[in-house]
Amino acid sequence: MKIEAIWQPENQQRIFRALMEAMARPGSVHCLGNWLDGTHGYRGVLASLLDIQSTLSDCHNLLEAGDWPLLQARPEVVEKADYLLCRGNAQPSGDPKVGTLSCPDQSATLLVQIEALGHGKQTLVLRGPGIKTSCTLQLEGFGAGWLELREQSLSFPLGIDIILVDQHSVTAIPRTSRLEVRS
Amino acid sequence: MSVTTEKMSSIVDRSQWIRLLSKLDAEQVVAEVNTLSSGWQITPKSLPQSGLAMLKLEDSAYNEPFYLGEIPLATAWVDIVTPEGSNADGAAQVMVDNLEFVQALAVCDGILANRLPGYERIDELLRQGLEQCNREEQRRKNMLAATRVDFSLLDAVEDDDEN
Repeated sequence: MKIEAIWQPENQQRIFRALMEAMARPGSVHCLGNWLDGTHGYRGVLASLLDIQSTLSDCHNLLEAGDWPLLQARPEVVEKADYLLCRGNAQPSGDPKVGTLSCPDQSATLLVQIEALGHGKQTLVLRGPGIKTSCTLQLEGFGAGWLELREQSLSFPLGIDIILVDQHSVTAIPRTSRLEVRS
Repeated sequence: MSVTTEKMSSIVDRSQWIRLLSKLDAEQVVAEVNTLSSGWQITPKSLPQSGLAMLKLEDSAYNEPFYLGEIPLATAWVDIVTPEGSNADGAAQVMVDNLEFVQALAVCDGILANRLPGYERIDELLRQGLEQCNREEQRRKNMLAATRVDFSLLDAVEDDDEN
């Protein structure tokens, strides 16, 4: 039986390790290409993160019907989902959950599919925990609406975490990072 | 169930196929499926998994759930595409911890349900499974008969004591 690379435990562990690094060092770009076997980065990230206890809102219908039984996650509306899969050049809709003061971890993580990561016309400068001084991130296809949504949701320790992913690579913008948009 | 010359998969309900096939030697089933499905495209529809499943029951007084124990369980759900273009899916859920075996059983389910090329060979396995199942059933009946106690003799002993 042929099982796609992203569903094999050893590849999921490697992708998860890359995600841990990305979360610990916000703005650092990590290549997942070796473990994706040609599929899009967001499928690899979801395969590593989700299980039967997770809920997912596929905001812009990026997943195929056959992906759901493999992911095992339950579909959920934006307001209640643990993970949101979104298209970066679309506008956000709905209010993702931001956690509670007693359980700030029960917030949503946005997985945003963008066109390019590590290069592109847009520039974000990140500061905060996990970054020595500042980190400059080049990217393409990340609409301003997502940053506005992040800003509106942020009331530390409450807020949302964002994972940006393009075809082959991933980076993270946790709620602890301070952002500056440069044109 | 009786063994006849008709196709087993027509006589036996689909819900019983996996139970009967799982009576056979795992290596035999895996080898047969591997030979038959050589060149086929078999992909998982959900990830094949094996592990321990918890048996949950409710107590009769408070109706509180509690875990009675655990059982080994393996599940597989596969999509099959043959070189001729036939498409089918099959699934299996068995109390074993052998992932390769449960995947082979899922393929058997798909082959039998959709009469894919070579399904006669899996049908023959089904017949062997039924025979094995009947033998087991007979053996259990014999064991039960051997342990049967004839309490009528106790009445005769009591009568002797009274005399």
